[in-house]
Amino acid sequence: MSKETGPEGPVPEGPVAPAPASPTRLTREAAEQARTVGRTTVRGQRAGASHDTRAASVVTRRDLEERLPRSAPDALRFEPGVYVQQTAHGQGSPYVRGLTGQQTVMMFDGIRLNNSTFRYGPNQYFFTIDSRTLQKLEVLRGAASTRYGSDAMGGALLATPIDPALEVGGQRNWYGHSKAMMRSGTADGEMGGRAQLDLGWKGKVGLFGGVGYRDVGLLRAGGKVLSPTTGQPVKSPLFAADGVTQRGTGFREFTADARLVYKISDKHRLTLGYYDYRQFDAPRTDRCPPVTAPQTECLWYDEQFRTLVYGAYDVSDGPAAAERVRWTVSYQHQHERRRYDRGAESTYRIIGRDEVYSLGTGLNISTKNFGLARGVSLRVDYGLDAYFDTLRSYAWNTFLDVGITTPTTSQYANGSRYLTSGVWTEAKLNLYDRVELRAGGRGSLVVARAPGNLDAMVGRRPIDQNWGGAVGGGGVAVRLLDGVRWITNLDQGFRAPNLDDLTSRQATGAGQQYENPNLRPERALTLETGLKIERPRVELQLFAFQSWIDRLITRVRFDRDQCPPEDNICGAAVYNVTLANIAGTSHIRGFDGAVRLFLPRGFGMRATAAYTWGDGPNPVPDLDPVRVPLSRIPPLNGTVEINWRHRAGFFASSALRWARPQTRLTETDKNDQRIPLGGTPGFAVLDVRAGYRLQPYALVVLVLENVTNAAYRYHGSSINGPGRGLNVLIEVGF
Amino acid sequence: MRNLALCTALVALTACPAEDPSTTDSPTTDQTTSGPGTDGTDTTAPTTDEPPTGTTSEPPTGTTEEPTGPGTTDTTTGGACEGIDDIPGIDESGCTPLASDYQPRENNSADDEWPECVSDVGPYTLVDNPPSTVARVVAYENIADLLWRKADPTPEDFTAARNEYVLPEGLESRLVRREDLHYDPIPMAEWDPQVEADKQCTVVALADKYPERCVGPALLKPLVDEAFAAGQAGDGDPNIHAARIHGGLLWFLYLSVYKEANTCATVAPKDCDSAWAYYTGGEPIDSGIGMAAEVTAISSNANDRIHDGIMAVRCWRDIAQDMGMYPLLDALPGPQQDLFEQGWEQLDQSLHRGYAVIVRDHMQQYVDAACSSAETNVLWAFLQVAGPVLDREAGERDAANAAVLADLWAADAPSPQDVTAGIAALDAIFPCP
Repeated sequence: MSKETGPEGPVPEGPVAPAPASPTRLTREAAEQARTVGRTTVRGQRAGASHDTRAASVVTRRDLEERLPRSAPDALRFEPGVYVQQTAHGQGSPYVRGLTGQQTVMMFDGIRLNNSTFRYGPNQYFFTIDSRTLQKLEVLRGAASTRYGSDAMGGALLATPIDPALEVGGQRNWYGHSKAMMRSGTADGEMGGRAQLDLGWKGKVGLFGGVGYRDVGLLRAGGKVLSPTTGQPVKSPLFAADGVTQRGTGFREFTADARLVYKISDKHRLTLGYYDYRQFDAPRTDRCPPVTAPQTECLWYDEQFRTLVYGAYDVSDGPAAAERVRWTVSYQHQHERRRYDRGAESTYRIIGRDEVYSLGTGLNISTKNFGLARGVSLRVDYGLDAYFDTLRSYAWNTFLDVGITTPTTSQYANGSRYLTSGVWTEAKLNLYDRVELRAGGRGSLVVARAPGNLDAMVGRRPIDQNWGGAVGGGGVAVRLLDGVRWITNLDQGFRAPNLDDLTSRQATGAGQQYENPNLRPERALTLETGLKIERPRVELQLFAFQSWIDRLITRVRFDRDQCPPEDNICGAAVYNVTLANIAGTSHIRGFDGAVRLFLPRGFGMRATAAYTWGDGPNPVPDLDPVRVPLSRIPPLNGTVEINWRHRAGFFASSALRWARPQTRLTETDKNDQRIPLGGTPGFAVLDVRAGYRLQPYALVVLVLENVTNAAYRYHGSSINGPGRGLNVLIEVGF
Repeated sequence: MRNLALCTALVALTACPAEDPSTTDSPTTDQTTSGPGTDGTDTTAPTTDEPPTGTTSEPPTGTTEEPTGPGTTDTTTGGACEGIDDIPGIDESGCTPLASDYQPRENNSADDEWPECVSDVGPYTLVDNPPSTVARVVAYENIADLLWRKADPTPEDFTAARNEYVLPEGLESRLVRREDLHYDPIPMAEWDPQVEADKQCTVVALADKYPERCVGPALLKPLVDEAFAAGQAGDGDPNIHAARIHGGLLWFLYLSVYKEANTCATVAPKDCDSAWAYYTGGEPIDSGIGMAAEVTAISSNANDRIHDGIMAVRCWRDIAQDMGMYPLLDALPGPQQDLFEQGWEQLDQSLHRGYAVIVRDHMQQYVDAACSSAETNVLWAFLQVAGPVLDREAGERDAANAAVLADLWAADAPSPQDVTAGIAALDAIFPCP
């Protein structure tokens, strides 16, 4: 639970600028927001996770402002149990307890972002959340399908956008606050900014929105990462002649958002949200160029767009069976256009375009806290959700020297449809303010339809699959001492195969991937146990966990004689892979935790650590070894941050990110050009930050990242981390 | 005078079939359009199924000789060919392997100098999984069907063929980085350290600086691209563009067999399989596709000898292993390094001859066409691409005859007499596989 610290607690965030001419008054929600992590003053430094009795952590708005992450995934680098892989500079994929991409679920304001084209392994989609629009980011570690449905096997990434302040305003009852932000970075030549407006009327209507743009250049690293076995530089990415500038990096980005909140009454609230993300010219680094191709060759993500429009209707203080209700209706359009060519000298270009249209709804209801007996209370959350995708997929070759375009095989089966849906409930029983029991379950229905051809000689098979099933979970939290709880949870997760698994044909880091129409859902069971301590001077969470994953879907190689007979792309690929359910049970186990100290005189310290170990049955039956490592499991890693802040508004901190080498590789890892031969070396990277905040008018932040100019790489990434560089943020409010 | 006398005699004996291109039909035509397809279905497609062209300028599609038939002649001569000697048929009956050659077809290699190995009893044994090279040779066959095995391919045919050519990891992806290992390597001091030793030609500056070594990006790519583009645009004679593409891709296959046989020893053992597949398309030696089919149609002996060379390299790879591991060449003792050079050289010599018989066959078709007043531009387009490929080796072997060939390739429209002389030069330089 979020707790206000006492007078001896943390130093306040900073001075508040002289009040505007007309004093304003905050609504209850605005005051709460301001108190915790808000836009105006922030006294409390603790932002509680919405899943208080799970292994979870939160990145606050203030963390985002002071760490200056480059993206939403980048913002998670200091969270326990999260390890952020990057296949490209314009991409980032958080691993949560060893799983990523389609095996984790991403939610934005309660709306599911995962769609049916999320591919196996790391993907770029969490990057399409503009971190400048976020109030907080929460990471829920471990399986969580009861609450979040399919894909929530490794965990859930929960993004909460900034709300309008809903301040009452001055004499005319209008409130307005605008902000201009400029951000620059030397390691990648980033230059960008955002203009933002926060309007309110009589505390009933609020509008928060903005537009942003940034142009990011080639990323300079500290140097080349060397193979631990050969001592030779890893072959991806290709470096420029200076030996530090990484080719195949950089991108442009435009964002726009608007959030209109209408407070119908004290109990009813309507929210309309619009979030648009448009990324242009983002090369996929490990294919710019592929290690054996001409150096001008590159796979570009010309356009990576995501548009989310939704409405949310919130009810509070309702009847006992539905004291709180939140109903959302959303529409999301994901647009992706890829281009493969050889730059100016290209005589042809291979282009693919995919459009995913997702229509969704979600209903979350919470009952009142029923008092069953003295000291015994019960609250039940329940709801339903359904998301329906329609997919359009195209591909074509353009011969540039003659201006001729011809259609080719698209990445997905054009016209495919996909539904993921479920009903769920979760009850929490509180016993004598000492024990909290949680139990719940979900019934799910997933439907996949894709056109195809029954003739196996010519191409994709049609898909007509329905999967129904149930998952459950529960836990117990026991208060041992005041502020000290022992928590144990047992939760299930599942992931139904999506259209990417079932129908896609695409080049991946591990080889040319082919569809598998016979996949079945994978299921996870996570057991975690640990301590949570929340005391005035210390905050700690430490969990040990084990996940059992049945029918784990993973990439396996297949021989060319299994290629569709008339598909020459399959035959020509150096490696062909497909997704397959691995018979038997795979294991991921480890620990993760964080400790935070609130020290005198404005000092503080936070440290995290995580270790993950994964193995599963050998995908090739009867082959030694019987069990093999799971792919791209992060090494032992952690962070240390020491910070100081002054009442006058100055703050400073230093941050260390570190990771041990990862040498446990699976076969596909060994064929992956992104991973050095023998594994990824460990690293330690030091950042130093300083800034000044004058609420709400000014914020200046300087981050000197990678002070020692270390050459480092997060395991599985195509790019090395930024070399020594200075990132600057200047915000001016009006 | 001698040529004139011989041609006159031939006129009297056979006469030139001036108006009947069908007399040039040969097994070559059949083998490229019939038989089981790659998917196991019968792809037999009689040439009469092709769209009729209604012209007499259709290029001859076959050879004038039976494969390896000793001394047969089917040369056409006439008024235009007065003074042309009889062009002898391919006769390799006098060719004998070197004592150092690997000879698996002779008593399972029991009588040669090579140690016992996996290749002795044939057929080819893969080092690894079936190579992706097979698909590239299948693509070559598909392109052939669309372009040079049919008359007057349409712009749509060129586009369809180019789609095959640019398939991901397909022919084009390898062609643009192909090196000709017959030329000196790029000096190590100039290497891009981030790029593998055998991929230095992917560096644009190096490809520009060393075009002979970096033949793929420097010479082959522009040649093939231009021909495809012209064919797609409908510019000029589509058969000429098809012939140039044929020449370019055949050149690529020829170099690839040699290159992969080398990197089998120096980079990746499974490249032995690629060498084999670049030649046979992954098919048995007596029914190979791609370059193997084209060689076999003219000289089954040359085909066998090339296969012997491939098997020699594979044999060496088998000998030079350590409990299933395949050390690279540098890590092996001197005698094993020498043995590799021996096998690789055997392959090189047989490839020269195999490639030469294809060139020779087109030269002979050229003479036939010229003598019958048929169209020769298409054949010459092929020869201008494919012919100079042998100049380097020819120059090393026989400078005088190499000069004859070099002068020939430089001509715009050589006379049948010049081409006949070129055939003689070619036979002199590359007599045996």
